[in-house]
Amino acid sequence: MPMLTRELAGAAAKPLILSILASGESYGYALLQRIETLSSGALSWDDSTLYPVLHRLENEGLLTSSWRKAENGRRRKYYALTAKGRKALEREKRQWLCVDTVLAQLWGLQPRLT
Amino acid sequence: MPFDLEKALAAWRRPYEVNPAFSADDLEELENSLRDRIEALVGQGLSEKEAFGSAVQRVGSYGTAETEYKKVYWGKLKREHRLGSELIWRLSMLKNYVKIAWRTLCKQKGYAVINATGLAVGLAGSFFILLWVQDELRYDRFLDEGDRIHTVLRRIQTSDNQTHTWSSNAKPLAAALKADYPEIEEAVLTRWPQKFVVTLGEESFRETGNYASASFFKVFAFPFIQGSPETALQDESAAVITDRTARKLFGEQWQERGNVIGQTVTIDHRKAFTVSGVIEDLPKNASLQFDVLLPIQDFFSRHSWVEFWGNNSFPLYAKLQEGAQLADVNDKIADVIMKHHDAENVEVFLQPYEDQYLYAGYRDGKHVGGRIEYVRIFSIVAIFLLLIACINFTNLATARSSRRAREIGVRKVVGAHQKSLMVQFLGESMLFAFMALILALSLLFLLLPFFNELTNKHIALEDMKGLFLVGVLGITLVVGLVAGGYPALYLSSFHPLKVLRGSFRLKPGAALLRKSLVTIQFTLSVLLIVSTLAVYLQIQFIQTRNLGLDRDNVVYLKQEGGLLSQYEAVRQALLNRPGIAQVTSTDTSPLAIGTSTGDARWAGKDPNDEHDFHIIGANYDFLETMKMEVLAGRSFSREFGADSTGYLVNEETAKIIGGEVLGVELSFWGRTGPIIGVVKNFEMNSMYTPMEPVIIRLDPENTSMLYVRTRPGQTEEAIASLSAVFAQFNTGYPFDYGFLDQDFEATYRSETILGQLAGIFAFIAIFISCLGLFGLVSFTAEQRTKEIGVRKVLGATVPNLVRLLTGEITKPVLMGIAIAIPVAYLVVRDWLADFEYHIEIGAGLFIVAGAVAILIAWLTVSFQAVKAAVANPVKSLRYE
Repeated sequence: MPMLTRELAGAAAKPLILSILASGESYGYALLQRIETLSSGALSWDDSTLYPVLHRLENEGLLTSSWRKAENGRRRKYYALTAKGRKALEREKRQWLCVDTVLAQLWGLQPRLT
Repeated sequence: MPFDLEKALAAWRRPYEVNPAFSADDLEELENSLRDRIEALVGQGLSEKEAFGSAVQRVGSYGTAETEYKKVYWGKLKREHRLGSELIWRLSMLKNYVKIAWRTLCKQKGYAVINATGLAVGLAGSFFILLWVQDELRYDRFLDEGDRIHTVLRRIQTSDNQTHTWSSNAKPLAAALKADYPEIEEAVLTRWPQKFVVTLGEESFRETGNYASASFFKVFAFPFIQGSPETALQDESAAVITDRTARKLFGEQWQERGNVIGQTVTIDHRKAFTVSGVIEDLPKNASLQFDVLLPIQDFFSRHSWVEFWGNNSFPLYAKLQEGAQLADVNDKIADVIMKHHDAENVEVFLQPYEDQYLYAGYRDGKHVGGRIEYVRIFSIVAIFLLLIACINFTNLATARSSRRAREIGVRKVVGAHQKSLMVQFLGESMLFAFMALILALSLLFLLLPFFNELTNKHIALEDMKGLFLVGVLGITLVVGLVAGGYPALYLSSFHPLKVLRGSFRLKPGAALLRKSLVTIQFTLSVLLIVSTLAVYLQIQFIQTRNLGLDRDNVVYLKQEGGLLSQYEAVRQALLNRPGIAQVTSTDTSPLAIGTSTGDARWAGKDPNDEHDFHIIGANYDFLETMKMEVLAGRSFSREFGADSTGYLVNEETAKIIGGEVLGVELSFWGRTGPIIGVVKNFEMNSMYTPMEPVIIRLDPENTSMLYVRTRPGQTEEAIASLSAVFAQFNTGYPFDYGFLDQDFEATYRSETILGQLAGIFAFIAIFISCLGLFGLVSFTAEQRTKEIGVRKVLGATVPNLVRLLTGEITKPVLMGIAIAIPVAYLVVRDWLADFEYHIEIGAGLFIVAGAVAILIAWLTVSFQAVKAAVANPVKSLRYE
């Protein structure tokens, strides 16, 4: 898969984070690993790009965070989705699907019955 | 030099540490991410040095990190800053509002005093009503499972289709109810409260007492201090006393003596009873009042007549099983008497005991009146008072609004929204309301003793909690909102441009509204005045009405000991002493006859016809002592030996028997005899109920009350004579007596209280209304200073000017009176309709009330009007 442009990667950050956290709380490094695995390396952010996004979403009230001790003795900041975050995810989903549908139609990728 | 990971990390960390955009937590998070990466890479076989280099690259450069983190950091900072300044701004505005409110208040002291006084008096009045209503609603509602207790009543339909409701019942009914209906858990009988002479050793006391069934305390769960509620009244010689009586008999520390239970007291010098239980004093707001309770079996053993179904002499209470529905039970028990006894058209039904106090009073079998009406009336009066007080505030605030027009204009120009201005003005009225609250509460504490005395209540400061406090705060809040609502809306709607340019004129609509509000105030005030007058006149009417007996100058005392056994000697001794005119004895007060029978038979009686007759057992001289009028035949006389079986009847009874009643043989309770006289109807139980049939039988052996007519104006001599004769014949009994007229007045105490309260509240209403008028007129006079000056210079006379100024308020006040009269007519007519005998409503009532209202209004405003009119025009024209 080709690498995404900075702008597209930036725009995709919010839905990606919300979607992953929708299935359970997680921490920054694990999130990065997950995204990298899912996109086979096509989507990979710097840590210093991801964390500010997490902080921003937290400030907006979409996420909550809590510090936990990991088994290696280090503290980890876990992020979880709030109710508001869940709603935001629904909105993101609709928007991305909308873009997807339009592009698919324009490019003739829509499955046809004829 | 070997690679030291910690040192390398420390070096990496340094620039971040000094940047405020990275908090310690942020940095820790980022560093741990870096460490995770390093560990993962080392796991893949890289050296620590290689891993560190690669991981740092993946984490990203310091430059990018700073830019990204700063975006978030500033966003957060900005938000926090905005909140902070918003808070500071709001607080300073609030401070500003309070300051302005305080200044306005100080600048217009007179106006502030009028407003605060009016509101405080209105609030205090309504708080008193709230306390009174709360106390009324709590009456009898304090017993465990009290909601299951019911009073048993009988409804009798007579042949002329009248329905009478009775609260006395026959003894066998109790057993029948309990045995036949599983829904009825217990049925207990009592007597009417009476006085017992309680003797312990040498000392005798007269205590309020009663008799009750053994299971009484299973129904009425009055708390026991000593003894057991289940068994206390089992023994025929047991007695339950209250804490108060125990203290009187056995000393304050009776509980420490430990042996009060088991002590023997003598009742009425008749029989010894063993104290089997001590209960706490009964609350003041209980209908049942007694200090000594004896087993009713003791009473039964002495009177064989109690076994008759026709002898209705006992109040009866039934406790329902849990979950039993009153309506179902009433359906089932309706015919219980007819099943057991040869009687027609008698229905038994239950009334919840807790409702008995508020919903007493039946007419034609349907519930009427009762104290609940007074509760409703006074709740409405409370609302009236508050409304009148609120109107004052609204009126004065809008009238004076021109004074604040500039302030409002400036505020709007510098950016105040209408909403924030409204908040400001509402806040001011709230401030006023709460100031008035403090004043009102002070009044409440100060006047509570007087109020208790007036209403015969025992409201303590402790009662002012819980719901009452919630009510008080709620009322104050609502008053603040209602009073300030319109002024807030009105003031905040001023157009800043007009106000500041000086072309501002108050809208005429506001003046119209003020006049309408004055009209409302006077409508309510006149309504209260008319009601007060009506209540007053009705009470006068009741107290001076010819009752068919002369209740003045009659003293009564319990006939006991020697008074009973040596009646003739006592009578002679009394008649030989000064001040005594007549002596007789009866078994009941003629004003409250407790015994009735449905068993009376006579020749020609329709067997289907059911009537209950009140029965008075009397001695000779009964009619003479009571000064009852004989319409036909004659009174009992010692000269006719056969009178011992003769009967006297009242007009109602004569009507029921029909035709020529003299000589008709009447029989009940195993005695047959002729009717020897017809007595004019006389008042018995209440002005609310129509005349009831009465039969008077000669029964000197069973009388219990001595009635003595004193010579007018010689009451003291008579009491001295009574006391002397009492001491001679009745050693060991405390001397105690009552007056018939006082008893009679006590019957109408609640009406008397209603009258007094209505008077006070009418006064408060008119007082607050006039305060408002005073404020309004002084303000218009001030506003029209120049106009008055000009008029005077042009030749207007003082009366002219006074008329000009008072004329403005005459119209709304007259309008208020006009609206009030029809409403008052309906209200008063409704109230009077509950009385069987009542005054007619005449025009005079309304003329007086209207005249009082308009006169007071004129007096109030003329002071200000005259002051303005006589002012020197030179001064007023120089004004400003």
